[in-house]
Amino acid sequence: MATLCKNCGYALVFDPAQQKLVCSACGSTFFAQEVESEAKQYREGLDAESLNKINGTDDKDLMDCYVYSRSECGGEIIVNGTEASTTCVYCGNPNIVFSRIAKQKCPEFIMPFSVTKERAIGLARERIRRGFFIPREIKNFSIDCCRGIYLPYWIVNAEFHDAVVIQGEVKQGKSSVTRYFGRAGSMKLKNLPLDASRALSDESSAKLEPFVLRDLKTFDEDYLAGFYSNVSDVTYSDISSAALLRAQEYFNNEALNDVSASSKKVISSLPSLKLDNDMIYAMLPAWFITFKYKGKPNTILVNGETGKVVGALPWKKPLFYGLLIGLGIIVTVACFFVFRETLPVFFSGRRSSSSSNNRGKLIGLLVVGIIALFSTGIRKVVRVIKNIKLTQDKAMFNFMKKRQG
Amino acid sequence: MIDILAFLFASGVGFGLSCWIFGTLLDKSNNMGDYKGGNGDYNAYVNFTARRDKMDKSEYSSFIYMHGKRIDTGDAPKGTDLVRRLTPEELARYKKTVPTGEFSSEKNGIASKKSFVDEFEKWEAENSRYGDLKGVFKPVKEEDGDRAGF
Repeated sequence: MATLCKNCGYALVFDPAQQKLVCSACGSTFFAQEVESEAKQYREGLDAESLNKINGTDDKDLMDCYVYSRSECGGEIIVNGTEASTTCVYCGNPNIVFSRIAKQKCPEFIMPFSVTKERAIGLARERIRRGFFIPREIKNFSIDCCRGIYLPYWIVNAEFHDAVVIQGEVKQGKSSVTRYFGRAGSMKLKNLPLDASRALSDESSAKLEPFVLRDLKTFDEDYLAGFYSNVSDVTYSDISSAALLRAQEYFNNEALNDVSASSKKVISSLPSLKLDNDMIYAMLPAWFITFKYKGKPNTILVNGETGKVVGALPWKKPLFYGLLIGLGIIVTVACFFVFRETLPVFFSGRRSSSSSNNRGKLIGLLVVGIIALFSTGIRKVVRVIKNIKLTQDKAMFNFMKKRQG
Repeated sequence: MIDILAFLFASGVGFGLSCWIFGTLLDKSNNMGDYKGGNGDYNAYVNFTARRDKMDKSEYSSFIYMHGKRIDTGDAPKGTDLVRRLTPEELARYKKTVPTGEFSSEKNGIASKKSFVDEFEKWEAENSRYGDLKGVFKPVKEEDGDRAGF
């Protein structure tokens, strides 16, 4: 079902720039709250036919899709079990599956898109263009597909308690020893948005945060017109695990900051979390932009409210490793001369116990510094590689791509 | 000997520094938007109830068992159930068991903390013309009123 223009009967589409529903045929504009279409009355009345039922199979390996017949053009639209809005492949008009947003299934809030498609693409291009190590082919990428999708979220409040043991190094006299620190406490999480779509990885959706939840609007299906959307398909256990992970992360951060030691890490914990049963169901906007590079799909996400660009891209490996080795050699040569001059002086000093202690400390410091430089650098490269895998994740690509229109 | 030692230290500093510089540059260049909401975004501040410093290895397991606690989740729905909104009846029942204080504004349905007294019933009556409890926010459990909702 689509919401039609009361002046000309053409399908209305939500325009993020004007924050209004716009009729592309006659140019009329309406606020979503103002539109009183007949379609809204049919929210609960639509019956869908499952393809699995039509084919007489309950095979779980087959994706169950639902077929709807459009009242406007007579065409059939096919949606999977969680899609709430899509586009008709025959007439190009927006479609909302009202049965999926009826009564208790209806989200309470929606964050309307405020970033337009052109702006989202512009922001992604601008950010990619600034990447020094991003290959030129990617900088001039041609878009394979760009879709605005409302993602389902449960905004939760939770109570969390944890007791952790932190291992750290503390100074004792002239040497440092390993000590253990205990921290126990509780924490309340407020209005934490958790992705309610199983098809999209939590790691990807979490990076779209933060959303300015103050801008949420009471749900109105007209905001969905022209965009794709999914409904929640997660269980309490999914939400609870996701909330627990986030809560642990926040708790551990605070606990580590509360301890005065070096090389700190949490080595043991006993977390416990309780979610409030009354969660808030909301739809939050994101643009999914895909392009192919060396045959692999890359999906860049753009927060549809704040315009934050999320994704990691392959890099120019010859340039990166060339510069890394080049600079490494230059600094090595420079340091070699410095060390060759200073080390003999350093070792030929008086052989008292205090001076040999100082020498030992300085060498230890140098070795620790070298290890820290390598580990920080390598950790950053590993993080980029991990995020590239997320950007090229087939599941995310399919989540976006396998939609009509 | 000194030359070998100087070379080892020099190559360590040279390639370590280079690795750190280019690792950081690569992260800035190719890794976009790699952060999520922090503690402050969700008022996730810890109220520490126990602190023990400089424990031995033998002491730390007892700390966990002494101070760790399981929050009672007795009334939680089954983990295998799909998450859903509460029905108005469930919401009304749930509301009775939870102290109130946070509620939606009439204008746009967005929560804003207005007072610490129980105003839920007043709010509910005002909003009854909407037909359902659209936009109901969970009443706040904690007494700390400074941490406003969104």
